Amino acid sequence: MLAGVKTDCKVVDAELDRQFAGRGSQLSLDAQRHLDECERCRTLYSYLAEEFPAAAVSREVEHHIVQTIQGSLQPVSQLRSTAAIAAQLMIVFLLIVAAVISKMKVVGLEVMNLPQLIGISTILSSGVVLLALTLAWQMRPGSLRRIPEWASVGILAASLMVGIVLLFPWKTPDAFVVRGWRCLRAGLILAVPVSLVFWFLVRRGAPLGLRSLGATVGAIAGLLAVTVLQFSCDLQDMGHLLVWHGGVLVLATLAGTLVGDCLSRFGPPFR
Amino acid sequence: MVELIQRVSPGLWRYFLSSQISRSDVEDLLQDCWLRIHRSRHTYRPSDPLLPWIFAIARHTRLDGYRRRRRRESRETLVATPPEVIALGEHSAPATTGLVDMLERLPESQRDVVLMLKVSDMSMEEVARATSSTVGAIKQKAHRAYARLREMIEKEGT
Repeated sequence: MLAGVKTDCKVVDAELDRQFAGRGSQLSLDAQRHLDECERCRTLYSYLAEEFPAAAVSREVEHHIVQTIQGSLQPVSQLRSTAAIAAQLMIVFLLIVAAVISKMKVVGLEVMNLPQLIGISTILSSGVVLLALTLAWQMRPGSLRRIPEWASVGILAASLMVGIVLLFPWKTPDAFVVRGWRCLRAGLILAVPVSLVFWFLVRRGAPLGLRSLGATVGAIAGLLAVTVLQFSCDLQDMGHLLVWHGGVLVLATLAGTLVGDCLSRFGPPFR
Repeated sequence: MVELIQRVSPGLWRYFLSSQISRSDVEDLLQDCWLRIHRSRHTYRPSDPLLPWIFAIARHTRLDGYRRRRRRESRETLVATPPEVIALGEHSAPATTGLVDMLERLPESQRDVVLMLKVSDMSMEEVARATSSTVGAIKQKAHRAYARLREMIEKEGT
């Protein structure tokens, strides 16, 4: 049929009757072209088509869903409350920090003065609470989030930066890269297994957004590494802490985001 | 459980259908969604509202389905000229006019918010739960969506 030739409305009516009677069959291109041109037929078609999807879910689909689910029904232990999960995550965090620090010299603790110690400890512990809550929210679908994931990570990074700038003095860098690289490498090496531990814990729930989950897990692993470095590093000056210790947090978060993104694109769809 | 499936499925069906996909894809998404709901049943707490929990899973089922379709389509190679017919029900875009058409022109996140608030009759807090967002963000999205719809209605009216 040549383009632009109008098909008679009655012919289209007949075809629509035929097509809608046998759902799933096909509409000819001519009829489709006519629909584009004729207001009356388009309205009729829209009306019929709107009725079509609004129809109830087919019995077969529903039956299949019920059969599949009933076949695998087993009792499950319920996930704990958000506060309890967050508390568990914080305890795990503290246990790992304590275990790692016990194997190292706590030189940082001796170098810091009291205001520095109180200030940085407050920032680090607030960060742990914030990230643990963020992770707990992500483990349960439909939980009400008070702060978005990205804001939690942002608040932590910003408060750490401001805290370091306000609390620690600027000193002329001494072997800035060599000593800094050592801290960065140690921090990242520590962050890898820690992120795996937290990933494993979080998978007990049903996390949905893997990219934001990866970022949060990376951030909490990075924060743990920063905490350990803070108490074990003898270089407590602003430049070193900002670039090399802060770098651990940034790189761990970025790596977590990347891994989460790859998993959401190419990994198994769910659990 | 059967009653739950029967009561919630139509709402999920309409939700999946709003993303302009074929009937067979909607059926696949619906089954996939129920399977996910079943697998993550341990995360539901009876004290929490049910619909946001279900819709949060449904939202991600739809996202994963979209990614899967895009991956599949990117690997497909056209070996012949497509047939000159359009399958009925395989395309859910029958040149609809009015509000439905305008809703389709909204960004997905805003459309989701409007559909959940106005069609599924959920509260702001429930929508925030379902979309893994905050109440403030939902208010903002709803406000933007209404402004955009108002703009469209004014344009179409002139």
